[in-house]
Amino acid sequence: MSVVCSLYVPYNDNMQLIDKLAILADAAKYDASCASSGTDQRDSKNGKGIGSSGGMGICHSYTPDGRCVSLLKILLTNFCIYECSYCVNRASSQVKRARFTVDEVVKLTIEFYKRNYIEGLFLSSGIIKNEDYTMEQISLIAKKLRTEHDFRGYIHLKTIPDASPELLAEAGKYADRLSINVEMPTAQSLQQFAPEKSPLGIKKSMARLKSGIAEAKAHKRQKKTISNQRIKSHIKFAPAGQSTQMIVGADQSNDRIILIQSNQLYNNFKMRRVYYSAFSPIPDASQALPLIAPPLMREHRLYQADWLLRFYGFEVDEITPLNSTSDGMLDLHIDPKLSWAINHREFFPINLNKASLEHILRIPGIGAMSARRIINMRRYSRIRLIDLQKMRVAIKKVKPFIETSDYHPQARLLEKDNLRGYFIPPEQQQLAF
Amino acid sequence: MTGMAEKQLTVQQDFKRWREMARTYLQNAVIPADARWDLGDQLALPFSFEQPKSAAKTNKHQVPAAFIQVAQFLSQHRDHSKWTLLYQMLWRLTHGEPYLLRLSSDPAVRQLHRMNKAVSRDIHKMKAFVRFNSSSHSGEEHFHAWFEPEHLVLEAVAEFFVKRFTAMNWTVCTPGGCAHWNQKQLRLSEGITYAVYQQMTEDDEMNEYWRQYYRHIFNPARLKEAAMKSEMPKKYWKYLPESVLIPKLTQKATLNMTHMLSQPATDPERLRAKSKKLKQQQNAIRSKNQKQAQ
Ligand code: SF4
Repeated sequence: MSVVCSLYVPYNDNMQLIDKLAILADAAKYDASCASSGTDQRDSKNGKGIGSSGGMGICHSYTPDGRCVSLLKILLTNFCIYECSYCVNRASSQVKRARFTVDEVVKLTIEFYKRNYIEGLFLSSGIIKNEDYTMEQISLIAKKLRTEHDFRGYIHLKTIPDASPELLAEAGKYADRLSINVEMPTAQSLQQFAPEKSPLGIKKSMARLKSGIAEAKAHKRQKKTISNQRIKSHIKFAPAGQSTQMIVGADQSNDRIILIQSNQLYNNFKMRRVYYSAFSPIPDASQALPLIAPPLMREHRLYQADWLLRFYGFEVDEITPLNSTSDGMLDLHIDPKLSWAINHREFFPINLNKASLEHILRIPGIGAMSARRIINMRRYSRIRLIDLQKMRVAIKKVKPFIETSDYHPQARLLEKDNLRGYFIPPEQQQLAF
Repeated sequence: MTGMAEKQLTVQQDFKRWREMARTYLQNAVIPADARWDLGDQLALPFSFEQPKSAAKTNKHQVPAAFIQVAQFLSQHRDHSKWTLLYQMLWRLTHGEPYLLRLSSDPAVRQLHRMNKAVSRDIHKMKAFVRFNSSSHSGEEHFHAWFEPEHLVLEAVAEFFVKRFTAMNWTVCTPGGCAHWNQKQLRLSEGITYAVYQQMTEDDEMNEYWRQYYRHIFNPARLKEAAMKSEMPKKYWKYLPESVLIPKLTQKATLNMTHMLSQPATDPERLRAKSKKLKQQQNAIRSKNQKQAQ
């Protein structure tokens, strides 16, 4: 079968598998996701097939960028008819092109898995021919792995937006997770930097995934409640849910815009995760998007803010307030929770022996785990400063904000004009990012 | 289900022994300071006790189920002090402090958590960093792996692998013991040295593919060596075929990134100008999108 894209770029179909692997891993590395957790509990104890999943994912290696290697993350092909300016695989890019056959991907996945290199496969692809054809090829690999090899490891498929609903349903049958990247924080930026992508099409597909996932979940729950008889018919659809990725720093959107978008994605589509990917230099960049060093600290702060939204009961307006003095950006020097606390000193000090969990969660330096442990502990004894120390809470950080049975903060500390300065070591105040 | 293990696993055996001894100590009101556990490899009571007189006495001591669980888990720790710690806690649980486990700042509880955390981490890292090497013996594929766990976690990890790699023949060896799986039964045998292990294995050609993948999934623009080393400390590198690449990838990263940043950018119209077909295709999609947006 000839590939449309082979018309555009010289393409050697006799390429060795090991060379294809180089090209198609290079093409896939800008996707931040590597999660392999939270799917159905499966194993191969009945002696057929291979693999297990469910529970915590495992990182089988780490690359020198500190990233976890959990899945074989590759593209089926890096030929692409789209022209997304930020992407190394866009049509106009002069990178080398390659395409795996379906069987090659299956083989690599199984052989890597057997050696305990990976938890499973994360497969994505450039758009070849058209959306449906590409989606079909991606699904086919998952189907082969599941049905011919009885593969019970983790499969994450990147869904092609605008592929037909039937194809999405098929993909959901075999995959643990499906994802569609929003790519840009706003529809305008997407139009500008990825003219072939449609903001509307992306949202439509996300909505389809959401209802597919919800339907399968409801079915499973119902099955449990009906009886203890095993019912064979089983609707399967991406048990580990959907996720998405946004590129940070390619367009002009500020952090507030990014967080508003994330918040909507969590609320409207029940995303498990929104990944933030600092716009990274790529070989052979486009003139439409001049290269910069990736804003890694900004990316880190966005992840922290994202956690505050999801697990600490914060609102976007609290983290990035809408007022004339704010530029809508997170403070790069201090984390967003601390930054909120410094601007809301009237909220503190919080008495650890009396306050509710919600309030304790607002104290900078106290994570969700410690907060729960404090609540648990104080049913039996009063909380003292030393208890926090023993829980390995950063005392210097929490001190201005708390009260315990043996400690009351000096009012001076909270009233300090330069409370922010108290937290930033002098050499850090000049941050390069 | 075919027998997972043909013999009682040793860590579980140790725990059972400890439990029996602890029960006897407790029934005879031996205070923690007097209880002795450090009797060589075999746990044995230093002196004999009378059998408890009545059933009521046996049932007097109730402990939370959670304690049995954490205690069992802790028996995988290598340090012998675990038995003393467990008995101290058992004593307190049965002498007026039934809520002991909830006192996160109590020194004994903290010690227990610390030790159990070390065990969990060891299990987790072993599941992650064991690498199976394939070799063929008379037509049948067999996978070998070598690992040096800090604690007595071989059995726990082997059971995990039994569920994951059920349809494979494999052997995981450590200095303290080997676990063998033949698709039906898990068998434990004496430990071996690394030199002996090396004679059992051959280089697996897939390692070259894995190294190729590792080399290319790394983004040199995001170099964070310290983050990698904290998750994957050097002591694990010897198990990982990819680790030989790390020094070079790290060294060349900055250079590669500077090079990338200095390259001239490409005209986005480059291909559209050359290929009418691509231009048509892209234009069709773009105009469809524009219509949709209106
Ligand atoms: S569709 Fe866009 S982002 Fe995806 S591979 Fe093609 S150019 Fe890259």
